Amino acid sequence: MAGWRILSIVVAGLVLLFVFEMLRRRKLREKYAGMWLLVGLGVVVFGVFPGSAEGLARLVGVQTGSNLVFFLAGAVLGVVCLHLSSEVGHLEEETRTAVEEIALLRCELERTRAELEARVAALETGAQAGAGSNGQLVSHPRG
Amino acid sequence: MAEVATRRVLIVLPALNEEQNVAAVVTHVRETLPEAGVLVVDDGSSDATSLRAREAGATVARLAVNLGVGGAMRTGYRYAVANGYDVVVQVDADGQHDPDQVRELIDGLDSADVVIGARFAGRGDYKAGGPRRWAMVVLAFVISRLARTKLTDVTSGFKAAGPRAVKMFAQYYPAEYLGDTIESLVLAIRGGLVVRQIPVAMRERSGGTPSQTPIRAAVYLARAGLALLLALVRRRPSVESADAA
Repeated sequence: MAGWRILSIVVAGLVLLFVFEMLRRRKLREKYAGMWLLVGLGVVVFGVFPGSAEGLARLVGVQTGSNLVFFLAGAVLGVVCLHLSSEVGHLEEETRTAVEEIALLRCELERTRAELEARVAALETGAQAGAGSNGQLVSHPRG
Repeated sequence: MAEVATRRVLIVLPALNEEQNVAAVVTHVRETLPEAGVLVVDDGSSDATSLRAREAGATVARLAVNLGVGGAMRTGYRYAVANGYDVVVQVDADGQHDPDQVRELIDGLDSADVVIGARFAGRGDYKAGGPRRWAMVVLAFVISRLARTKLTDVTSGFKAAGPRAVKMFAQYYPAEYLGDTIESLVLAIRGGLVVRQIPVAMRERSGGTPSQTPIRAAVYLARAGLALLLALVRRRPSVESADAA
């Protein structure tokens, strides 16, 4: 077996292992991992059976297998970039909504707190007045 | 449409680092429209904007990070819906909009859902020159066609929204570049809302004037054109629930 073939198989295996390990440690969400597992598997297949790339190239009319692999790699990277852009936009929208909600909640909190303080103050003054008149009522029968 | 007198009006002032002007504007608004609620949306200011606004008697919603006018205004519309306001008037906190003219905008809501306070409609002496002016003319032309009425100033930040528009904008108000002006107007028109304008006079900005180099104007034109194109081809967010409510 040629050296370059062992090298490509080892590299492909490492990629697959790395993705799996990240997934296992919860550093990669399932929805992004699927794509990378597919890519890793593809690399392993091309590494183990170099003829498959050549065969595929002939099938779609590409001159050499390596060109097909380059093309596929470019296409995969392009799709990944587009996907990440859309995810960033999605996250921005979520952040925006969260920030707006926080601002409104803080607003609500301030108003509720002000109302509560006003009510407590009213109750306290009411209680003091009540206590004063109570004392008088109690002292009256004695006098 | 409901009587103007029975409507609850909320004045929303999006403010970014306006500690110099916000108190004066809030005070002026409260004097001219004592029955209206005043909400200052502090768009992540690093100065004492929130404090000054609160001292002047406004309710303050402070955004933790800067979201731009679109984010600030959607916060305002959401506040309006949550607290039972029917009409939202957007007034800039830098003092270039005259609170005395807010009532004219609100009166305009009798026959429209969105009323724009337009700067070039023959009142006041606001002028913009060069490519920026051309951009505004092109945008105004396209959006006028869509709205089937003459609009001369579609990038104005002095706007009043009636009950239907408030419901729609509380749900969906773009936060992107120029989304608060161009895209929101296109959304309103495509959503079947009636857009009108009334002429207003602008006051001198308290701060500096926006810089206008040809390159910046060209960039503005390109971005405005892109914003308009996107607004036109984007799928309309569903407002069925808003209409049903």
